[in-house]
Amino acid sequence: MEPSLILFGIKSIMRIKQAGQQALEQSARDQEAIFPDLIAIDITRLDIVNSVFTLPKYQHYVEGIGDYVTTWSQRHDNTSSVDLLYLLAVKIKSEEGIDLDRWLTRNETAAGITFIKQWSESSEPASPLARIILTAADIALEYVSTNPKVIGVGSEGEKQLAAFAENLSELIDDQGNFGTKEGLAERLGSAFLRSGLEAIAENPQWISSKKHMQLFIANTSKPVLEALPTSLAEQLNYQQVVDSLAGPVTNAALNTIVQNQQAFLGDDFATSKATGAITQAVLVTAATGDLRERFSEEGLIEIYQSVLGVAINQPELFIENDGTAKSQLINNLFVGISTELQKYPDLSKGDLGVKIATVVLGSVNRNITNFIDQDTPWEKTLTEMITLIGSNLSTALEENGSLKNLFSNDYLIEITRVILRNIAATPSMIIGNNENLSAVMSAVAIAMEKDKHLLLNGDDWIKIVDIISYEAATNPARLFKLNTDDPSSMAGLQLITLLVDSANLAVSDPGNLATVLYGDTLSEAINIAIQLASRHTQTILGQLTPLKEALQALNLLVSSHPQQLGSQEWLMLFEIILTRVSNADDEIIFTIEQAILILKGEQQ
Amino acid sequence: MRATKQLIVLLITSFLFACSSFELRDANNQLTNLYSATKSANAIEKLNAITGLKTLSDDAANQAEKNITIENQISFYRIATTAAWQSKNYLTAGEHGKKGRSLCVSNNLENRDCGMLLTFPSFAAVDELSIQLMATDKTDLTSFMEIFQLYKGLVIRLSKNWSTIKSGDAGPLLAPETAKRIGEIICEKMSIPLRGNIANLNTSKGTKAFNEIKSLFDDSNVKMIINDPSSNLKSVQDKFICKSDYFENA
Repeated sequence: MEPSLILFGIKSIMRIKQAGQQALEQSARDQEAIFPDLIAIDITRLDIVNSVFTLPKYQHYVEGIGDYVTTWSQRHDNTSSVDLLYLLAVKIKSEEGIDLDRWLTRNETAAGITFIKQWSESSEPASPLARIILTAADIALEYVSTNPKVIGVGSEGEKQLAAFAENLSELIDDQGNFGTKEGLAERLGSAFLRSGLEAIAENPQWISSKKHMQLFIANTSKPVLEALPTSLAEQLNYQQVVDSLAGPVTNAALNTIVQNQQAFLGDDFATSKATGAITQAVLVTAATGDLRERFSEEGLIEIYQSVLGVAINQPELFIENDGTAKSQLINNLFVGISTELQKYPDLSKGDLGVKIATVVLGSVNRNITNFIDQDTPWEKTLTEMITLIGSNLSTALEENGSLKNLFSNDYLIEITRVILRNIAATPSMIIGNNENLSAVMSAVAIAMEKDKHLLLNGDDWIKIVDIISYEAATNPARLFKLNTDDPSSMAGLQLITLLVDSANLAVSDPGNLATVLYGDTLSEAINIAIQLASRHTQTILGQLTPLKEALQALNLLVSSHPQQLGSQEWLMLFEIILTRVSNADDEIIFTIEQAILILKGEQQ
Repeated sequence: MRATKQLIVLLITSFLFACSSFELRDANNQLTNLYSATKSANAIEKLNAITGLKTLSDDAANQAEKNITIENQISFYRIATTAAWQSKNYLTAGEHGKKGRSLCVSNNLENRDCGMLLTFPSFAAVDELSIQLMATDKTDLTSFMEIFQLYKGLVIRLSKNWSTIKSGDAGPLLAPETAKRIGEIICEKMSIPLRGNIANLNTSKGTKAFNEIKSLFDDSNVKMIINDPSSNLKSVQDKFICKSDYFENA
């Protein structure tokens, strides 16, 4: 016999053995497999008894001198007590037309066991027998070709990102044994890797410090992994949240770092620790609370970036003296902001609340010394500011529905920005309490409510808010000193109200068609009034009634002589009226002739 | 004659080949038998079955780690996951499921075993919650709502897997059976406050739980299953709305 034929015979037997084994294995794998039913939850008689007799309406049966007090107390130990109470409940509810028995019926359960096939018809691989036949055919072909070398089979190993794997094991677990955290660790690691590569791709000039980055990643990923809950349901929920947020969060973190390289790459590592602490806090808080339900993903990232901004400038706010994270503070900060915003549904539209919160955070970041007070936690001050701004703007829009159409979110955000710019620029304005901010917000909200005819547009309001907040910040105890029992009594607000009311009256008077007191003229009038009143508070505020009459007369005068008098003339005459009031001058109502002489400078 | 030849070939190959295939077949048969026994009315038989499933889960996982064929490993992990789930070792079910699933992903396989490895850990988590719920006072809505949120997370997670299950290569019953169980979570388990607070029927509609379930039907992933005619989930939604209306008017 030819040696080559003997060799071929041996190889053929080996191959058919291999093919046969594969076929048998396939046949075992392709057996039908069970798809278990879920555990059914029954409503028991005890559940029904509890739900009926804990209602105030029926408690008299089982409490006090009720006939079933003893039976009720024995319901957990004695099934006959449950049965008795159940019968009573059935009787009570049937008199109300409700059949309780229907709710005791078990859920529908599958009649038998559900089996699932391994493959759909279109995807089913060749049957085990077909595989043997194919192998045999293959051998036959081989015999014909007399080329025994084709039996050799080679394989290629998969390439891995060595650096990534090494980095991952170094950061997460020295033994490389992740256990249940393995998948999560890999996904977190890849989120960092991808975000890092993207950041470098988009910012080729970025030079990162390896040590800072390692510290940041370790401070983020380790606590996130360690926070993995112990029950499977919670684990799956946690992983889901981390999977969906890790990418955007790490992207946002690295972008913030890129934009603040100087602070991040400083001599100490506090910034790296703080950014890591915040990053892990946002992931853990989002996974274990209902933060994600309250914020959109974009909203959450926006708040997160704003908080990071604060951390980059003031890392010590977020880390303890021993270098560990102030986890509870960070957690409270995110939950606090989301809880406050939740109170005002109007603010959640289009993430308006988030924008306001980021403006507040930005203001804190730029004026950090004005917000830090040893007696009051700064994060508490911050959430209170958000509440204060949110509630006042909400109330103003609620009280004057027309404003909702006038104000886009951009105006409300700008108003917030203007107020905070003025308030926060003045040292010690916020510390300890928010009295000045409260005063400004109340003044703005009340003034807005008064503008029923929308005489002022969004830009006008921004100017007025600027005037009010500047005055409140510069002279806090003068025109805008808040009386919490009667916010309308603020001196400056009385003056604004007088002007807005006067403008409302003028515009509603059918005989006063040529009124000029609206828009720019009205906002400028408020500006003039506040500036003069700031210098002559007592005299002007003591003359509000004559001032009101003088305003009405001025409105009538200007609208009656449109050819001679317009907006500019109105403002000049108004300033003269106010000056005369501040000088305690009685002559504050003019005729047209007097007005013309005054305007020409021929009369004082 | 042809059948005889086929039998001869199978007998020869059976005689020649290694034992791992029989172990896989045995493990699968054991799983079916033990699962059937868990449904027995006899408490001892039931307990023995659960103990057997725990052992089977460990053995199958060991076999999976020893085996050199990827497909066999996946099948063993499917058995290990199912057995751990049914023996109430939920965390273990999650771990086995994850290991098996990673093999499916790296080998681009989407057969029945891979579909089951994708969803069974979530279903195991559902059972874990159901046991927790049964021990909870159903009049305590606060405790219930915590469990409720976790149920909700699992429904969203499962519905995200729908397109993978639907477009996979598994037997045709896998997708509808998956959808059926998703429907069961929403309509039977998450609706407990609606059914449980029977005395409160008139206020059921508009409660947080009611609104949450309604909002779940608006989730884009859940909607995808509802709009898929083969899922039959539309009828679950209709049933839920219909039930709620009944409660409202009761």
